[in-house]
Amino acid sequence: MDISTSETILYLAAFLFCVGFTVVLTRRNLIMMLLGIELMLNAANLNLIAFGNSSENQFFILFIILVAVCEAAVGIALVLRVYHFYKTSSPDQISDLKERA
Amino acid sequence: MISQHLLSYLIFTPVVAALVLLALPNSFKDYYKWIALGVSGVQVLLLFIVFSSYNPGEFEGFHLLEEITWIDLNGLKVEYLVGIDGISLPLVALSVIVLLIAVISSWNVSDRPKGYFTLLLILNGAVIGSFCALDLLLFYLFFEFMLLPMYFLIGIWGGPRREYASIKFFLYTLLGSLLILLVIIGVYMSSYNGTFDLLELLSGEGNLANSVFDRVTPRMILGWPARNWAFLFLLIGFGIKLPMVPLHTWLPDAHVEASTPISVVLAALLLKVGAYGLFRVGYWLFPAEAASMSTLVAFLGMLSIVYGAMNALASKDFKRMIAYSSVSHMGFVLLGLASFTVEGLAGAMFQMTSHGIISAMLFLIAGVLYDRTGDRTIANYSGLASKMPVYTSFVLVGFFAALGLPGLSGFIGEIMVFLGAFRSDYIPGWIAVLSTAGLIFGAGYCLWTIQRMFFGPYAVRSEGLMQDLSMREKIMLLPLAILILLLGIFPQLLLQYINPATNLMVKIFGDHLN
Amino acid sequence: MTFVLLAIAMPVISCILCLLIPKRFMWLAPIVSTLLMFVSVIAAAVLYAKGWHVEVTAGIPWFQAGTSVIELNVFVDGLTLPMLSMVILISFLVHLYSVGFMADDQHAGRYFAFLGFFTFSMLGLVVSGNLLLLFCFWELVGFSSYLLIGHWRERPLAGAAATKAFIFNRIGDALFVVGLMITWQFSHTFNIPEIDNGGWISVAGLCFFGGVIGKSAQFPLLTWLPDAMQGPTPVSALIHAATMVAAGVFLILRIPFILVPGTATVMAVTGAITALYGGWKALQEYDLKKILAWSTISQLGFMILAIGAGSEQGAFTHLIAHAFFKACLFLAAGAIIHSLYHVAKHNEFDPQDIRNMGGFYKVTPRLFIATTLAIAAICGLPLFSGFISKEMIIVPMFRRALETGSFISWTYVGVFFVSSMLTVLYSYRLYVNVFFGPRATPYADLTPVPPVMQWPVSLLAILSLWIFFSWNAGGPGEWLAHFKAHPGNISVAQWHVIFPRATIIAWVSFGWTLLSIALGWYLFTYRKTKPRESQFDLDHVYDIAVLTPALRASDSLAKFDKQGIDTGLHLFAYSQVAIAKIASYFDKFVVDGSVSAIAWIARASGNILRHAGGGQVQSYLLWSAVTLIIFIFWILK
Repeated sequence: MDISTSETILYLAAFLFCVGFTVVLTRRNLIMMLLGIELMLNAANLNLIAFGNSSENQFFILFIILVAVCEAAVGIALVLRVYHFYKTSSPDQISDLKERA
Repeated sequence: MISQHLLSYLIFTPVVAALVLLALPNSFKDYYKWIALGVSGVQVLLLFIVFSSYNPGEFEGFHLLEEITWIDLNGLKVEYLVGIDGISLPLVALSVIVLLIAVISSWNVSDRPKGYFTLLLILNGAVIGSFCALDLLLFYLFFEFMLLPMYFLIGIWGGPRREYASIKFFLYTLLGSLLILLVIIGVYMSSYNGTFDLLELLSGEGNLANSVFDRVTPRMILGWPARNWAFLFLLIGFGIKLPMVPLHTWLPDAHVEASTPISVVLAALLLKVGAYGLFRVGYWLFPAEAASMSTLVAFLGMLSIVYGAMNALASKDFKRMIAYSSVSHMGFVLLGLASFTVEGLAGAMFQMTSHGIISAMLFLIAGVLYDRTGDRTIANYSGLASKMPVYTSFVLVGFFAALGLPGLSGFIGEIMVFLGAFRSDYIPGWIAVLSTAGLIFGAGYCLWTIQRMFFGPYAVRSEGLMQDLSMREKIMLLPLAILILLLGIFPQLLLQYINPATNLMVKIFGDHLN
Repeated sequence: MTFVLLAIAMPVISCILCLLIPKRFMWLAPIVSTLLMFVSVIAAAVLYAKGWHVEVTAGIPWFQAGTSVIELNVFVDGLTLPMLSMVILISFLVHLYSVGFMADDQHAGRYFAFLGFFTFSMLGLVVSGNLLLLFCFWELVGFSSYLLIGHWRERPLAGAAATKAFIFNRIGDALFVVGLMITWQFSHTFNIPEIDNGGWISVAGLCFFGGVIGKSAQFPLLTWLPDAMQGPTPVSALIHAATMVAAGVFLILRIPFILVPGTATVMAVTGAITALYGGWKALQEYDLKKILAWSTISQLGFMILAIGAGSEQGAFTHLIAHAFFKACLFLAAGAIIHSLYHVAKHNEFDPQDIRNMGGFYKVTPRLFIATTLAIAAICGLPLFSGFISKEMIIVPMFRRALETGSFISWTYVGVFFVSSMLTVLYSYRLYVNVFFGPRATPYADLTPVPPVMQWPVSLLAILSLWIFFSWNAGGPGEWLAHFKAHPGNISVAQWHVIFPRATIIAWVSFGWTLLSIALGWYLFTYRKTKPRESQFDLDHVYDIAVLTPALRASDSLAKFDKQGIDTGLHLFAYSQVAIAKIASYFDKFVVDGSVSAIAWIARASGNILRHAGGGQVQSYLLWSAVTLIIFIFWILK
């Protein structure tokens, strides 16, 4: 892979990261925030490809994707439980630990 | 093998047992007293071995010495140094016997037995330890270690005014301990190798020039030699424990509030530690100063004898009366110590053991009545002799021993003290002569009490089932009565140990004084 | 030596056996102890048979006082032997008498045990070879006397009397101890033969005499003896008439070196006061036993006077003679009281009051004869022991008065005659009141006196005859009088050589006795005088002058102890508490205040800052991202 390609990929990854980060910061829905996190994760994966496309890297990325899937599954399950308990999925309204002012 | 660390076994068996007792769960509640009894049994066995390995004719110094360096900092050397001579041996024996009887006497303690017996065992180790310790700091440590268990034993298991009594006891003795500690620090500062070894200190070597307690050129504090101050401090410090009039007022309160076994230990052993300490520390380290203040010491002794006896005469409470009789009897010890004669010193030492036995017996006697009725007012009893003949016999032995009837142990100590005190070059004769008033007052309070409580028609003005002694009470009183008789008829049994030691001491004192 | 020990050991064995005997076999106790005492009597008889002038000293070490050893030693000489035999014999007779007297008593075992213990202590006192040992037994006889006076424990008076007896003795004993201390300092031994003389001996002697005053009921420590009559009568006979109270006299004779002139004068004066006071009180008393007690006091004073005035030999003879006739009188009195006891209880009168007696010569003829002999002896009629002993007292006394011509010596002689007249008067009064005159009691109800009680009385009465003291009925002869020869004593052979006027004095003395009897007849038979009891009682004096002040002093000392010393202590404690309170305020407002201020600042700043954290996760993330970016720029810069 030449440098221009990798540069392009880096730009793409940066773009994806920014999109993900914006989603995490702005959306008021836990599921959407989870999706944003997934985007950021994949951007990081792309960065890894961009810096070196060896077989170890590819293998490593496959592994990360696998873990990410599990993590997403756990995350969504947690969100569901939270939704069941609080009847909402907005993080701002879940404030049990907050000091009652 | 066992004889090498005999004294350590004697001291630390109860301490180890106390730790074991602490670790036992509460379900073993009924076995605590058996453990305490077992410990005392082991100590009695050890005592036999001590006696068999102790040969008074062999040499005059200390037997069964154990010496381990304990703390060795630069210029500070504390040793674990224990040993016994003819002066401490009878007291160790007395402690073992009295503590055994105290355990038997505590047989019915049901309120928090774990704490009670643990404290009793710690007290046991501390008392024996302080009689054996030959290192000043070690002695002080044991001496202080007795204080706390006693405080709790009076303050928790005592009578209605126990808080007042225990606080009074604690503060009084703490004040005394502070004065003693001051002197100990001074002694440390005045020896060039920073030792606390009493044997070294006795010899007078290691005198540090220009130090606080310099023997050669005395340092003055407030226009009086520092060494005199030191002896005065020790006199007050140990005098509180002794107790010496006018520092005695903690004693009647503590005795009245303490339960029977605690009173027994307090009167029979703790007072002796005071007298023993005064001799072992005060007289050993400052003999010349002690001699120069002999008149004061003897006067205080006489004051204790007469004042204590008169107060006993006026007491309306049985136990309070016995407590004051202790003050009176310990006055003889002071008088004997002040005499600096062999018979006076030996008499004082004999009196200590003898009073230990007698006072233990008297407090047990008071306890018997208190167990029956919970009332100690003398006026509420009359004619007990017809209802409790066996009890009355023991009372007669106890009280006549207390008033110094020949043939019972109290007499020997008193007469030797009198002989020594009158012969002494350090005490004016009138002090010894006036002290004999104690004999009259002693007979007065003893016999008057017997007359009021035991003679006449039977009447008891308080609730309770008056029955004669139980088996357990007989087991406690009988050995004491036998000892009183035995020591009264064959005083040499004890004097064969005491005499060589006091001879040696008088010789050493003589060297110091000239 | 063996026999001395045997004689002493028997009572101890008797004491131990009687204490150990189980209740079921209690009836054995009197028999066993009496038999054991009989063994002692035999041992004493053997000692006698062996001869008079044996002198035995033997000892084993007892204990070591200082550098010297104090021995348990025995010192038997011509003085000890008669005393020893007298004690053993009277003790045996009293044991025998008690078998009858105490037959109904539940606590007879205890009684015989203490009786044995007393006998042992008394014998120990007599044979002791050193003063400390002697003092031990001296106290022990007091102790057994205490136990025996208080034998009937339920009687409140008995307890009080026992206590009083012991404490009065103790007062004397405290002085005795001072004497021991002086002896120890100057002589450094207690062994009687080894004590060396010196100027100190007069002071020590006075101190020992203090002990004698207590034990022998001399003025001023004498009121305990009449009170001691609360004990059983045989005890009064043995302890408070014959033996223990005579121990004081014995002590002075044992250590005659204390008889230096000053001390002797003190003794004689004390003895004279006691003899007169005792005789005077005996005249006023109505209680049979108390009359005898006052009589004993008077006779003891008489002996002390004799010693002080220089007739030690006579004093000792009088001691032995007095022991026999007074014991006889006491035992006879006991028998009469015993026989009256039940009827008295029934009719509620006092069986000891001589006004309730009378005409007894018909009821108990044998007791009557015995008492007559003893009364004759105490009055000092010829052919009786009292005549000889009085003769031996008055002759040297008279001689000294003639020689020195001093006022005080003549006073002694005067006191001698006055007190012997008093003796005759109170004896006459007692004798006539009890045995003659109208019957005050219906005799049919009297309890018969068992023979076991009559025999000892008769025997003691026979022992009051002259023959046991001297062949020569008119003066000292070859028997008891011939005791230990020490410087003050005169051998019998020399008696009439030295005292040529002895015969005249004997006649004068006899005449004086007859005169006294005539006076007694005039006063008590012809005029029927009933003496009123005087209001003066030494006990009141002691109450006001000694006892009450002592108790009050004790009380005020106790108050001082509680209020004086403890108040000071409490003030000290309160001042400590006050200081602690101040410290605690300081702690609360100054030290704690500054700490609180810091905490307040922290809290205030926290309050401001916490508004930044609104609990919104996303804003946290944003802020952290911004911070991260700033951080990255800062690093990359």
